[in-house]
Amino acid sequence: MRKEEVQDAELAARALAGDRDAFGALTSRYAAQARRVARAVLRDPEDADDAAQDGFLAALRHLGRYDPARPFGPWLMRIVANAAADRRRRLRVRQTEALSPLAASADPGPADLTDRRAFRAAFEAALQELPERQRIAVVLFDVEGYSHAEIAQVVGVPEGTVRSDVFHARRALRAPLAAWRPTKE
Amino acid sequence: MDVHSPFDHRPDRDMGEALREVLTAPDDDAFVRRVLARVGAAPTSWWEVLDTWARPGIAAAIVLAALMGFLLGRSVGTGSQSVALDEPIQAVAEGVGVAALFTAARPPDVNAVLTAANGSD
Repeated sequence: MRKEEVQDAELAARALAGDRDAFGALTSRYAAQARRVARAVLRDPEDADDAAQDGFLAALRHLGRYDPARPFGPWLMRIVANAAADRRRRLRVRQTEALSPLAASADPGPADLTDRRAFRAAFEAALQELPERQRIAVVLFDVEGYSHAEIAQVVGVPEGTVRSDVFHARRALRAPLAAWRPTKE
Repeated sequence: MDVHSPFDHRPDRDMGEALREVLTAPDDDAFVRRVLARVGAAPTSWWEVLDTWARPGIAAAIVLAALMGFLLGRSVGTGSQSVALDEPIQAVAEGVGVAALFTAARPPDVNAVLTAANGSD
């Protein structure tokens, strides 16, 4: 186990014993990651934060089921991803597709900034076109640095399926990414 | 720029940067404070409430099923009080004869059969 994983296991044990600061440390450590995973499932940032919060609170309630011999991150991300998927199912009933704030922005600006926003919106739209599991897989692999085996634990499919998901997600995102790259500073 | 193919089993740095930029929300500290403020609060969602009742509910269902099984077993065991479907036929048979019931070309008159079954004839 890596040093961070040992620290996670110790923090989890303390949090299970009622140490609020230990849970706070775990929340701080995984907040950004959990919010990105939830955002990969739910397009709306506020919904994503609600889901990430649900995930952390559910993890706290079920800390007794966490196996300290295994990495904490994949265990937590599985709970967060499930919380986000649950929320998305509930929202689907009443949710109409809203434009993202950036795509909907009508602010006039310099041409390069407008292009950058347009490319970003195109990339985001391409990401949202992907199946949910592919979005989670590519985010965990290319952003969070998870291994295929760890992602398999998060999404509950065989490792080979994760490899396939990452492959298809990358292929779908490659064109909008290529258009976006030249606009980067 | 990294040259990655979709088959590459290493993280794609450019892809990671783009995804991070699109998905990262601002102010993690505020989010952490918000989560910690909720710690210890009562469950508010219906599935959280159901979750807390799941184990006692399953235990109660098992006990109830066992009790129902026991009571059902007792009632089956006391066969003298149960209704036997062949009793009316037996009663009719005593009145009109079994052979007549099964060999008649036409079905017996319903009123006659019911009268015989009720024993009021």
